[in-house]
Amino acid sequence: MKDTKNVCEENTFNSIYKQYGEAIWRFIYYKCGDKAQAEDLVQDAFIKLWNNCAKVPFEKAKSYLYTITNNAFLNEVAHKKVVLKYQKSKNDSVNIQSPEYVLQEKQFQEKLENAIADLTEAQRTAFLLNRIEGKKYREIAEILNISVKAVEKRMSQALAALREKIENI
Amino acid sequence: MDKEQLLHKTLNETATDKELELLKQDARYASYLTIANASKNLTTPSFDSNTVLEKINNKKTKNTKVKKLNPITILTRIAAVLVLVFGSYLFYQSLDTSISTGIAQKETFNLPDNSQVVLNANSEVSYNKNKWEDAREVTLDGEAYFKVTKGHKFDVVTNTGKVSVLGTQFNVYNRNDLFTISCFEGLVSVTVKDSVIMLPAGTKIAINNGNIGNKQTITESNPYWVLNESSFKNTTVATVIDELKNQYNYTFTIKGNTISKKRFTGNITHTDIEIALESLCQPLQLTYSIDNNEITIYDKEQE
Repeated sequence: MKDTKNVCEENTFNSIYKQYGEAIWRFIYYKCGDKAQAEDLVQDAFIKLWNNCAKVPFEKAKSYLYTITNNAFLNEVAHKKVVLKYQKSKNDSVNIQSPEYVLQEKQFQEKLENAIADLTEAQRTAFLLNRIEGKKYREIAEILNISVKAVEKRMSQALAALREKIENI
Repeated sequence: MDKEQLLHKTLNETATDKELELLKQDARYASYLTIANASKNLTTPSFDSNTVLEKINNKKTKNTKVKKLNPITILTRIAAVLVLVFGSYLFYQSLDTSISTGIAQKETFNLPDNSQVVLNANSEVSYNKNKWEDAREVTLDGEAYFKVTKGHKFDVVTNTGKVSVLGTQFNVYNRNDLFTISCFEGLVSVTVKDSVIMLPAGTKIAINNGNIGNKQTITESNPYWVLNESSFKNTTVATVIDELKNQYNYTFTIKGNTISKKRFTGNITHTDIEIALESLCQPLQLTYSIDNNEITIYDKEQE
Protein backbone atom coordinates (compact mmCIF):
# COMPACT_ATOMS: atom_id res chain seq x y z
CA MET A 1 0.00 0.00 0.00
CA LYS A 2 1.19 3.48 -0.83
CA ASP A 3 2.41 5.46 2.13
CA THR A 4 0.69 8.81 1.75
CA LYS A 5 2.06 11.65 3.81
CA ASN A 6 -0.44 13.89 5.51
CA VAL A 7 0.26 17.62 5.34
CA CYS A 8 -1.60 18.05 8.62
CA GLU A 9 1.17 16.20 10.45
CA GLU A 10 3.72 18.50 12.08
CA ASN A 11 6.73 16.60 10.76
CA THR A 12 5.51 16.49 7.19
CA PHE A 13 4.59 20.15 7.28
CA ASN A 14 8.02 21.13 8.59
CA SER A 15 9.79 19.05 5.98
CA ILE A 16 7.74 20.75 3.27
CA TYR A 17 8.84 24.08 4.68
CA LYS A 18 12.50 23.05 4.71
CA GLN A 19 12.26 21.78 1.17
CA TYR A 20 10.39 24.66 -0.49
CA GLY A 21 10.36 27.60 1.93
CA GLU A 22 13.51 29.27 0.69
CA ALA A 23 12.89 28.56 -3.01
CA ILE A 24 9.46 30.13 -2.77
CA TRP A 25 10.86 33.08 -0.88
CA ARG A 26 13.42 33.69 -3.66
CA PHE A 27 10.79 33.18 -6.31
CA ILE A 28 8.67 35.89 -4.77
CA TYR A 29 11.70 38.07 -4.06
CA TYR A 30 12.48 38.14 -7.78
CA LYS A 31 9.00 39.44 -8.31
CA CYS A 32 8.75 42.06 -5.57
CA GLY A 33 12.36 42.82 -4.65
CA ASP A 34 11.42 43.30 -1.00
CA LYS A 35 12.98 40.91 1.51
CA ALA A 36 10.43 41.53 4.28
CA GLN A 37 7.45 41.45 1.94
CA ALA A 38 8.64 38.16 0.48
CA GLU A 39 8.96 36.77 4.01
CA ASP A 40 5.43 37.84 4.85
CA LEU A 41 4.07 36.24 1.70
CA VAL A 42 5.88 32.97 2.39
CA GLN A 43 4.60 33.02 5.96
CA ASP A 44 1.01 33.60 4.82
CA ALA A 45 1.29 30.88 2.21
CA PHE A 46 2.44 28.26 4.71
CA ILE A 47 -0.24 29.24 7.22
CA LYS A 48 -2.83 28.88 4.47
CA LEU A 49 -1.39 25.47 3.63
CA TRP A 50 -1.69 24.47 7.28
CA ASN A 51 -5.28 25.67 7.54
CA ASN A 52 -6.21 23.76 4.40
CA CYS A 53 -3.96 20.79 5.09
CA ALA A 54 -6.86 18.35 4.90
CA LYS A 55 -7.71 19.46 1.38
CA VAL A 56 -4.18 19.57 -0.03
CA PRO A 57 -2.56 16.21 -0.82
CA PHE A 58 1.15 15.97 -0.08
CA GLU A 59 2.06 15.74 -3.78
CA LYS A 60 0.18 18.96 -4.53
CA ALA A 61 1.68 20.99 -1.65
CA LYS A 62 4.50 22.45 -3.76
CA SER A 63 2.37 23.79 -6.59
CA TYR A 64 -0.25 24.88 -4.06
CA LEU A 65 2.37 27.00 -2.27
CA TYR A 66 3.65 28.54 -5.50
CA THR A 67 0.17 29.32 -6.71
CA ILE A 68 -1.14 31.00 -3.57
CA THR A 69 2.09 32.95 -3.03
CA ASN A 70 1.91 34.19 -6.59
CA ASN A 71 -1.77 35.09 -6.24
CA ALA A 72 -1.14 36.94 -3.00
CA PHE A 73 1.71 38.78 -4.69
CA LEU A 74 -0.51 39.76 -7.62
CA ASN A 75 -3.19 40.99 -5.23
CA GLU A 76 -0.90 43.04 -3.03
CA VAL A 77 2.28 44.22 -4.57
CA ALA A 78 2.24 43.80 -8.32
CA HIS A 79 1.72 47.48 -8.87
CA LYS A 80 4.76 48.62 -6.92
CA LYS A 81 7.99 49.70 -8.55
CA VAL A 82 10.53 47.00 -7.98
CA VAL A 83 14.14 47.59 -6.96
CA LEU A 84 16.03 44.44 -6.27
CA LYS A 85 19.04 44.43 -4.04
CA TYR A 86 21.72 41.87 -4.51
CA GLN A 87 24.48 40.91 -2.18
CA LYS A 88 27.90 41.92 -3.30
CA SER A 89 28.75 39.64 -6.16
CA LYS A 90 31.48 37.25 -5.30
CA ASN A 91 33.54 37.60 -8.41
CA ASP A 92 36.70 35.54 -8.02
CA SER A 93 38.42 36.89 -11.08
CA VAL A 94 38.25 40.54 -9.93
CA ASN A 95 41.48 40.52 -7.91
CA ILE A 96 43.78 39.76 -10.74
CA GLN A 97 42.30 42.38 -13.06
CA SER A 98 43.56 45.90 -13.69
CA PRO A 99 41.92 48.82 -11.83
CA GLU A 100 40.31 50.03 -15.07
CA TYR A 101 38.82 46.63 -15.62
CA VAL A 102 37.53 46.50 -12.07
CA LEU A 103 35.85 49.87 -12.55
CA GLN A 104 34.36 48.76 -15.83
CA GLU A 105 33.12 45.61 -14.22
CA LYS A 106 31.56 47.57 -11.41
CA GLN A 107 29.79 49.90 -13.81
CA PHE A 108 28.62 46.99 -15.85
CA GLN A 109 27.26 45.23 -12.79
CA GLU A 110 25.40 48.37 -11.75
CA LYS A 111 23.89 48.78 -15.19
CA LEU A 112 22.90 45.12 -15.22
CA GLU A 113 21.14 45.39 -11.86
CA ASN A 114 19.24 48.47 -12.95
CA ALA A 115 18.30 46.85 -16.24
CA ILE A 116 17.02 43.75 -14.45
CA ALA A 117 14.91 45.94 -12.17
CA ASP A 118 13.38 47.51 -15.26
CA LEU A 119 12.30 44.18 -16.77
CA THR A 120 8.67 43.23 -16.56
CA GLU A 121 7.82 41.06 -13.57
CA ALA A 122 7.18 38.06 -15.83
CA GLN A 123 10.48 38.42 -17.68
CA ARG A 124 12.50 39.03 -14.52
CA THR A 125 11.09 36.08 -12.62
CA ALA A 126 11.79 33.64 -15.45
CA PHE A 127 15.22 35.13 -16.11
CA LEU A 128 16.40 35.06 -12.48
CA LEU A 129 14.95 31.59 -11.82
CA ASN A 130 17.09 30.41 -14.71
CA ARG A 131 20.20 32.47 -14.03
CA ILE A 132 20.48 32.57 -10.24
CA GLU A 133 18.72 29.34 -9.37
CA GLY A 134 19.96 27.47 -12.43
CA LYS A 135 16.48 26.10 -13.01
CA LYS A 136 15.75 24.43 -16.33
CA TYR A 137 13.02 25.86 -18.58
CA ARG A 138 10.79 22.90 -17.80
CA GLU A 139 10.95 23.60 -14.05
CA ILE A 140 10.26 27.29 -14.59
CA ALA A 141 7.29 26.47 -16.79
CA GLU A 142 5.93 24.26 -14.02
CA ILE A 143 6.39 26.89 -11.31
CA LEU A 144 4.87 29.71 -13.36
CA ASN A 145 2.18 27.46 -14.76
CA ILE A 146 3.03 28.37 -18.35
CA SER A 147 4.40 26.43 -21.34
CA VAL A 148 8.11 25.87 -22.05
CA LYS A 149 7.59 27.87 -25.26
CA ALA A 150 6.38 30.80 -23.17
CA VAL A 151 9.48 30.52 -20.96
CA GLU A 152 11.67 30.63 -24.08
CA LYS A 153 9.88 33.75 -25.21
CA ARG A 154 10.30 35.46 -21.86
CA MET A 155 13.99 34.59 -21.75
CA SER A 156 14.56 35.93 -25.27
CA GLN A 157 12.65 39.11 -24.48
CA ALA A 158 14.53 39.55 -21.19
CA LEU A 159 17.94 39.19 -22.83
CA ALA A 160 17.02 41.52 -25.67
CA ALA A 161 15.73 44.13 -23.22
CA LEU A 162 18.84 43.85 -21.05
CA ARG A 163 21.13 44.18 -24.02
CA GLU A 164 19.35 47.28 -25.16
CA LYS A 165 19.59 48.86 -21.69
CA ILE A 166 23.24 48.05 -21.24
CA GLU A 167 24.83 49.72 -24.22
CA ASN A 168 28.40 49.32 -25.35
CA ILE A 169 29.26 45.91 -24.13
CA MET B 1 20.06 25.00 -35.90
CA ASP B 2 18.35 28.31 -35.19
CA LYS B 3 20.58 30.53 -33.02
CA GLU B 4 17.68 31.44 -30.75
CA GLN B 5 17.23 27.75 -30.02
CA LEU B 6 20.97 27.41 -29.44
CA LEU B 7 20.77 30.27 -26.95
CA HIS B 8 18.01 28.49 -25.03
CA LYS B 9 20.00 25.28 -25.13
CA THR B 10 22.94 27.15 -23.60
CA LEU B 11 20.78 28.71 -20.91
CA ASN B 12 19.37 25.27 -20.21
CA GLU B 13 22.95 23.93 -20.01
CA THR B 14 22.35 21.33 -22.67
CA ALA B 15 24.47 22.92 -25.43
CA THR B 16 27.79 21.37 -26.52
CA ASP B 17 31.07 23.35 -26.57
CA LYS B 18 30.88 23.40 -30.36
CA GLU B 19 27.44 24.95 -30.32
CA LEU B 20 28.61 27.47 -27.75
CA GLU B 21 31.50 28.53 -30.00
CA LEU B 22 29.09 28.90 -32.89
CA LEU B 23 26.89 31.16 -30.84
CA LYS B 24 29.80 33.33 -29.67
CA GLN B 25 30.63 34.18 -33.27
CA ASP B 26 27.44 36.21 -33.53
CA ALA B 27 27.97 39.59 -31.82
CA ARG B 28 24.38 39.83 -30.60
CA TYR B 29 24.38 36.39 -29.03
CA ALA B 30 27.86 36.94 -27.63
CA SER B 31 26.56 39.93 -25.68
CA TYR B 32 23.54 37.88 -24.57
CA LEU B 33 25.92 35.31 -23.16
CA THR B 34 27.95 37.99 -21.36
CA ILE B 35 24.77 39.28 -19.72
CA ALA B 36 23.62 35.79 -18.90
CA ASN B 37 26.94 34.88 -17.31
CA ALA B 38 27.14 38.11 -15.34
CA SER B 39 23.61 37.54 -14.01
CA LYS B 40 24.66 34.14 -12.79
CA ASN B 41 26.86 35.80 -10.21
CA LEU B 42 24.03 37.77 -8.68
CA THR B 43 22.89 36.52 -5.32
CA THR B 44 19.82 37.41 -3.35
CA PRO B 45 19.90 38.47 0.31
CA SER B 46 19.77 35.50 2.59
CA PHE B 47 16.42 34.09 3.61
CA ASP B 48 15.84 34.01 7.35
CA SER B 49 14.30 30.57 7.25
CA ASN B 50 14.12 29.93 11.02
CA THR B 51 12.50 33.26 11.92
CA VAL B 52 9.79 32.76 9.32
CA LEU B 53 9.18 29.20 10.48
CA GLU B 54 8.85 30.43 14.04
CA LYS B 55 6.28 33.02 12.95
CA ILE B 56 4.38 30.35 11.04
CA ASN B 57 4.36 28.05 14.05
CA ASN B 58 3.14 30.84 16.32
CA LYS B 59 0.15 31.50 14.12
CA LYS B 60 -0.37 27.83 13.39
CA THR B 61 -0.94 26.62 16.95
CA LYS B 62 -3.96 28.89 17.32
CA ASN B 63 -5.52 27.24 14.33
CA THR B 64 -4.79 23.70 15.41
CA LYS B 65 -7.31 23.95 18.23
CA VAL B 66 -10.00 25.09 15.82
CA LYS B 67 -9.28 22.10 13.60
CA LYS B 68 -9.78 19.66 16.40
CA LEU B 69 -13.17 21.12 17.30
CA ASN B 70 -14.44 20.12 13.88
CA PRO B 71 -14.57 16.33 13.88
CA ILE B 72 -17.71 15.98 11.78
CA THR B 73 -16.47 14.52 8.54
CA ILE B 74 -18.53 14.11 5.42
CA LEU B 75 -18.67 10.41 6.18
CA THR B 76 -20.52 10.91 9.47
CA ARG B 77 -22.97 13.25 7.74
CA ILE B 78 -23.70 10.59 5.14
CA ALA B 79 -24.13 8.03 7.92
CA ALA B 80 -26.59 10.31 9.72
CA VAL B 81 -28.69 10.75 6.59
CA LEU B 82 -28.73 6.99 6.01
CA VAL B 83 -29.82 6.34 9.59
CA LEU B 84 -32.63 8.88 9.20
CA VAL B 85 -33.85 7.40 5.91
CA PHE B 86 -33.66 3.84 7.20
CA GLY B 87 -35.30 4.83 10.48
CA SER B 88 -38.23 6.56 8.82
CA TYR B 89 -38.62 3.57 6.47
CA LEU B 90 -38.84 1.24 9.49
CA PHE B 91 -41.26 3.61 11.19
CA TYR B 92 -43.43 3.77 8.07
CA GLN B 93 -43.36 -0.02 7.81
CA SER B 94 -44.51 -0.41 11.39
CA LEU B 95 -47.54 1.83 10.89
CA ASP B 96 -50.92 0.15 10.84
CA THR B 97 -53.12 0.09 7.80
CA SER B 98 -56.44 1.62 8.66
CA ILE B 99 -59.78 1.56 6.83
CA SER B 100 -62.75 3.54 8.04
CA THR B 101 -66.26 4.33 6.84
CA GLY B 102 -68.37 7.42 7.43
CA ILE B 103 -72.08 7.63 8.10
CA ALA B 104 -74.19 5.89 5.44
CA GLN B 105 -71.13 4.29 3.89
CA LYS B 106 -70.15 0.61 3.67
CA GLU B 107 -66.88 -0.86 2.55
CA THR B 108 -65.82 -4.36 1.48
CA PHE B 109 -62.13 -5.18 1.33
CA ASN B 110 -59.67 -8.05 1.59
CA LEU B 111 -57.02 -8.60 4.22
CA PRO B 112 -53.51 -9.79 3.20
CA ASP B 113 -54.58 -13.46 3.48
CA ASN B 114 -57.69 -12.80 1.35
CA SER B 115 -60.02 -12.89 4.32
CA GLN B 116 -62.94 -10.64 3.51
CA VAL B 117 -64.10 -7.79 5.70
CA VAL B 118 -67.37 -5.95 5.17
CA LEU B 119 -67.25 -2.76 7.18
CA ASN B 120 -70.57 -1.28 8.26
CA ALA B 121 -71.18 2.47 8.37
CA ASN B 122 -69.29 4.68 10.83
CA SER B 123 -66.70 2.02 11.68
CA GLU B 124 -62.96 1.58 11.58
CA VAL B 125 -60.67 -1.40 11.16
CA SER B 126 -56.90 -1.31 11.42
CA TYR B 127 -54.27 -4.01 11.01
CA ASN B 128 -50.52 -4.32 10.47
CA LYS B 129 -49.56 -5.56 7.03
CA ASN B 130 -46.04 -6.56 8.08
CA LYS B 131 -46.94 -8.55 11.16
CA TRP B 132 -49.80 -10.28 9.33
CA GLU B 133 -47.70 -13.37 8.65
CA ASP B 134 -47.06 -13.79 12.39
CA ALA B 135 -50.44 -12.80 13.78
CA ARG B 136 -53.72 -12.26 12.00
CA GLU B 137 -54.99 -9.47 14.16
CA VAL B 138 -57.34 -6.59 13.39
CA THR B 139 -58.57 -3.86 15.68
CA LEU B 140 -62.22 -2.92 15.31
CA ASP B 141 -64.27 0.06 16.36
CA GLY B 142 -67.87 -0.19 15.14
CA GLU B 143 -69.32 -3.13 13.24
CA ALA B 144 -67.86 -5.47 10.66
CA TYR B 145 -68.58 -8.82 9.07
CA PHE B 146 -65.59 -11.16 8.60
CA LYS B 147 -65.22 -14.08 6.21
CA VAL B 148 -61.96 -15.56 7.41
CA THR B 149 -59.96 -17.93 5.24
CA LYS B 150 -58.66 -21.05 6.96
CA GLY B 151 -55.33 -20.71 8.65
CA HIS B 152 -53.91 -20.04 12.06
CA LYS B 153 -55.66 -17.95 14.69
CA PHE B 154 -57.51 -14.83 13.59
CA ASP B 155 -58.12 -12.17 16.24
CA VAL B 156 -60.47 -9.24 16.31
CA VAL B 157 -59.51 -6.88 19.11
CA THR B 158 -62.05 -4.41 20.48
CA ASN B 159 -62.01 -2.24 23.56
CA THR B 160 -64.41 -4.66 25.26
CA GLY B 161 -62.86 -7.99 24.42
CA LYS B 162 -61.19 -10.21 21.90
CA VAL B 163 -62.75 -12.55 19.32
CA SER B 164 -60.59 -15.42 18.08
CA VAL B 165 -61.40 -17.83 15.26
CA LEU B 166 -59.79 -20.34 12.96
CA GLY B 167 -61.72 -19.84 9.75
CA THR B 168 -65.33 -18.81 9.71
CA GLN B 169 -67.87 -16.13 9.02
CA PHE B 170 -68.89 -13.93 11.88
CA ASN B 171 -70.07 -10.47 12.73
CA VAL B 172 -68.69 -8.26 15.45
CA TYR B 173 -70.69 -5.31 16.74
CA ASN B 174 -68.88 -2.97 19.08
CA ARG B 175 -70.62 0.35 19.57
CA ASN B 176 -71.11 2.37 22.74
CA ASP B 177 -71.34 -0.22 25.50
CA LEU B 178 -72.88 -2.94 23.39
CA PHE B 179 -70.66 -5.72 22.07
CA THR B 180 -72.42 -8.32 19.92
CA ILE B 181 -70.89 -11.26 18.12
CA SER B 182 -72.81 -13.38 15.64
CA CYS B 183 -71.27 -16.56 14.25
CA PHE B 184 -72.51 -17.74 10.86
CA GLU B 185 -70.06 -20.55 10.16
CA GLY B 186 -67.40 -22.42 12.08
CA LEU B 187 -66.60 -21.71 15.70
CA VAL B 188 -65.81 -18.41 17.36
CA SER B 189 -64.17 -17.88 20.71
CA VAL B 190 -64.99 -14.65 22.53
CA THR B 191 -62.79 -13.41 25.33
CA VAL B 192 -64.21 -10.72 27.61
CA LYS B 193 -62.03 -9.87 30.56
CA ASP B 194 -61.27 -13.32 32.02
CA SER B 195 -64.13 -15.36 30.61
CA VAL B 196 -63.98 -17.24 27.32
CA ILE B 197 -67.21 -18.04 25.45
CA MET B 198 -67.31 -20.56 22.62
CA LEU B 199 -69.83 -19.49 20.01
CA PRO B 200 -70.92 -22.20 17.49
CA ALA B 201 -72.39 -21.50 14.06
CA GLY B 202 -75.90 -20.03 14.05
CA THR B 203 -75.65 -18.34 17.45
CA LYS B 204 -75.01 -14.84 18.68
CA ILE B 205 -74.18 -13.29 21.99
CA ALA B 206 -74.53 -9.76 23.31
CA ILE B 207 -72.36 -8.24 25.99
CA ASN B 208 -73.93 -5.09 27.35
CA ASN B 209 -71.73 -2.87 29.48
CA GLY B 210 -69.60 -5.86 30.49
CA ASN B 211 -72.60 -8.09 31.33
CA ILE B 212 -72.57 -11.27 29.27
CA GLY B 213 -76.02 -12.18 28.00
CA ASN B 214 -77.37 -15.57 26.90
CA LYS B 215 -76.58 -17.22 23.60
CA GLN B 216 -79.33 -16.66 21.04
CA THR B 217 -80.08 -18.54 17.85
CA ILE B 218 -79.88 -16.78 14.50
CA THR B 219 -81.59 -18.01 11.41
CA GLU B 220 -80.13 -15.81 8.70
CA SER B 221 -76.94 -16.83 6.87
CA ASN B 222 -75.51 -13.30 6.69
CA PRO B 223 -75.94 -10.30 8.94
CA TYR B 224 -78.83 -8.23 7.67
CA TRP B 225 -76.80 -5.07 7.38
CA VAL B 226 -74.69 -6.67 4.68
CA LEU B 227 -77.92 -6.72 2.66
CA ASN B 228 -78.54 -3.07 3.61
CA GLU B 229 -80.92 -3.89 6.41
CA SER B 230 -80.68 -3.82 10.17
CA SER B 231 -82.37 -6.56 12.11
CA PHE B 232 -83.57 -5.99 15.66
CA LYS B 233 -85.05 -8.44 18.13
CA ASN B 234 -86.70 -7.05 21.23
CA THR B 235 -84.36 -4.06 21.10
CA THR B 236 -84.93 -0.69 22.81
CA VAL B 237 -85.84 2.22 20.52
CA ALA B 238 -82.75 4.05 21.84
CA THR B 239 -80.47 1.37 20.41
CA VAL B 240 -82.42 1.27 17.15
CA ILE B 241 -82.02 5.01 16.74
CA ASP B 242 -78.31 4.80 17.57
CA GLU B 243 -77.98 2.34 14.68
CA LEU B 244 -80.06 4.56 12.35
CA LYS B 245 -77.68 7.43 13.18
CA ASN B 246 -74.90 5.31 11.69
CA GLN B 247 -76.82 4.59 8.52
CA TYR B 248 -78.48 7.95 7.88
CA ASN B 249 -76.93 11.37 8.16
CA TYR B 250 -79.75 12.99 10.19
CA THR B 251 -80.09 14.27 13.71
CA PHE B 252 -82.69 12.45 15.73
CA THR B 253 -84.85 13.93 18.49
CA ILE B 254 -87.20 11.87 20.64
CA LYS B 255 -90.18 13.62 22.27
CA GLY B 256 -91.70 11.68 25.14
CA ASN B 257 -89.98 9.91 28.04
CA THR B 258 -91.33 6.45 27.45
CA ILE B 259 -90.47 6.07 23.77
CA SER B 260 -86.73 5.22 24.24
CA LYS B 261 -87.58 2.26 26.47
CA LYS B 262 -90.09 0.73 24.03
CA ARG B 263 -88.87 -2.44 22.42
CA PHE B 264 -88.74 -3.13 18.69
CA THR B 265 -88.50 -6.33 16.69
CA GLY B 266 -88.06 -6.29 12.91
CA ASN B 267 -85.89 -5.24 10.03
CA ILE B 268 -85.14 -1.67 8.96
CA THR B 269 -83.70 -0.75 5.54
CA HIS B 270 -80.58 1.38 5.08
CA THR B 271 -81.57 2.77 1.71
CA ASP B 272 -84.69 4.88 2.30
CA ILE B 273 -85.19 6.99 5.40
CA GLU B 274 -89.01 7.23 4.98
CA ILE B 275 -89.44 3.45 4.74
CA ALA B 276 -87.02 3.00 7.61
CA LEU B 277 -88.95 5.38 9.90
CA GLU B 278 -92.27 3.85 8.79
CA SER B 279 -91.00 0.37 9.75
CA LEU B 280 -89.98 1.61 13.19
CA CYS B 281 -92.97 3.85 14.00
CA GLN B 282 -95.98 1.92 12.76
CA PRO B 283 -95.77 -1.15 15.00
CA LEU B 284 -94.94 1.03 18.04
CA GLN B 285 -97.77 3.52 17.47
CA LEU B 286 -95.33 6.41 16.92
CA THR B 287 -95.25 9.25 14.43
CA TYR B 288 -92.31 11.15 12.96
CA SER B 289 -91.54 14.34 11.06
CA ILE B 290 -88.59 15.16 8.80
CA ASP B 291 -87.52 18.77 8.67
CA ASN B 292 -84.40 19.27 6.55
CA ASN B 293 -81.88 17.09 8.37
CA GLU B 294 -83.80 16.86 11.60
CA ILE B 295 -86.01 13.94 12.46
CA THR B 296 -88.38 14.13 15.39
CA ILE B 297 -90.15 11.06 16.77
CA TYR B 298 -93.10 11.37 19.12
CA ASP B 299 -96.13 9.48 20.51
CA LYS B 300 -99.26 9.35 18.41
CA GLU B 301 -101.42 9.89 21.47
CA GLN B 302 -99.73 13.17 22.33
CA GLU B 303 -101.10 14.87 19.24
